[in-house]
Amino acid sequence: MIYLTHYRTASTTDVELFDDIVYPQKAHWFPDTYHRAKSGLVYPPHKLAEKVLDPELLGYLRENPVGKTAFILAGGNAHFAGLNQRTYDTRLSYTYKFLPFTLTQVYAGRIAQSCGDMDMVTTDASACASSLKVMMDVQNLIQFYNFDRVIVLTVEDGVSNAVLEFFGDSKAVLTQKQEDAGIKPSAFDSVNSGFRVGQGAAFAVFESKNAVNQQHIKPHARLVGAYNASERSTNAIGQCEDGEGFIRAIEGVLHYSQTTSDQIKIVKTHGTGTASNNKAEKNALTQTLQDFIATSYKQKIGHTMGSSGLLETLLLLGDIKSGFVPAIENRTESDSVFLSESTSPPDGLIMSLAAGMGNIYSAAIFKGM
Amino acid sequence: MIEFIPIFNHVARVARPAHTKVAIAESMEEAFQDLGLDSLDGLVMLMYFDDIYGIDDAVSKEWHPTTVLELHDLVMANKTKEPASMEEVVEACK
Repeated sequence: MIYLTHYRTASTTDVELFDDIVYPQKAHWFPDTYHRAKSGLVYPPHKLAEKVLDPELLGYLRENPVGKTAFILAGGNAHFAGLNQRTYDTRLSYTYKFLPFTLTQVYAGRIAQSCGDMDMVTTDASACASSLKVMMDVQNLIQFYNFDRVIVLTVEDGVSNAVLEFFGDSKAVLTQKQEDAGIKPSAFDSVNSGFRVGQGAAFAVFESKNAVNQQHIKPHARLVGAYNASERSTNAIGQCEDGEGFIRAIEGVLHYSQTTSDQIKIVKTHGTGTASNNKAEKNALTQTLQDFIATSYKQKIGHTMGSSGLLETLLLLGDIKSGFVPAIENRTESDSVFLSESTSPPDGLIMSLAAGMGNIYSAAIFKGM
Repeated sequence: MIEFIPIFNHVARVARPAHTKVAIAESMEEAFQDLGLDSLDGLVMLMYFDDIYGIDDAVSKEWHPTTVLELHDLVMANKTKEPASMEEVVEACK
């Protein structure tokens, strides 16, 4: 058994228009993460991570070791400050004076120190699937390698010159031009579509049954299973619209967790709202599950890239605890499956999905507690 | 002129990973290693000292101080400005 015992999240519904970049667009961000970034001493993703590095929780973890412990930084991608398109003169431009900490593994090693003694420190760069992809790593470490605690920090440099240009250039993001034409971010909708980029981070602690018993704590949820898959695609930044990648991930997690499809009642979709993801994910879900409701968080907090899979799952667990499953924002059609209205959570298991460029699909099943 | 040790301790606190414990230096003779500061901490601290005392990064990158006193002497020999108050140091490290 694997339990989610502690977590912290950081995300924002606030949006701001960036009109001094190559593809003007709105993004969800915390302006203070760029405070003094131009001095070269402050790296915005680290400032973002600090929002979930709760001193009290880190102190608790240091003072309450439980056995073999691992730390995973799910970083989504590797962006190096001072390189690439950061030289454009925008409010997001800066040159970091201390490049080693922009290397994910070096940063992971530094932050892992804050959580106590570690038996393993590792990183992941599975693009936008990163933080959900590592659920399979969490499962493997606890089930097969006798780890008792796996700590996951997920943060990515999403709101940056490089990312905003990349997504603008690839026409994946909702640009200001589209917003001016009346399009709003949504998913699985025939009128509104697409996403804005967002800053977000999450910190989560997964522990074995032994560790939970040892500490006498009440977990937030159980990680029932996790699985990652790829599809037979030739386009590393595209998706098969028949949903093959999602289907493989869903079938894999159901099989290995010995769960039947009718046990899944709530789905947190990847839900970017792009035309290809709408088709792929909807096809996959309707082919593999029977009686479920689906939601998406990207319309509310933006696409937080590598952080999105786990961060959105944690937000959903919180919303369910508060008694509702939120609607997918800006739906224009009445829909009781891909929710156009918030609803009470049905009893059953929760499935989270994520997809990442480079052909990776992740599925994880949780049981709220 | 404000004392060097309080500035050193503040910069060490900022340079260490968030939320880790940092031993407080009480004398100029204390070694970085004894204070729990590793080589990466030392490099980050130099970046902040460059900012506070107006020192060229290229110059400080060649330094390898191992004690508070050694760092103090290098900073004093190369500084082009000095903080007027501890508040100014805190602001520079934000």
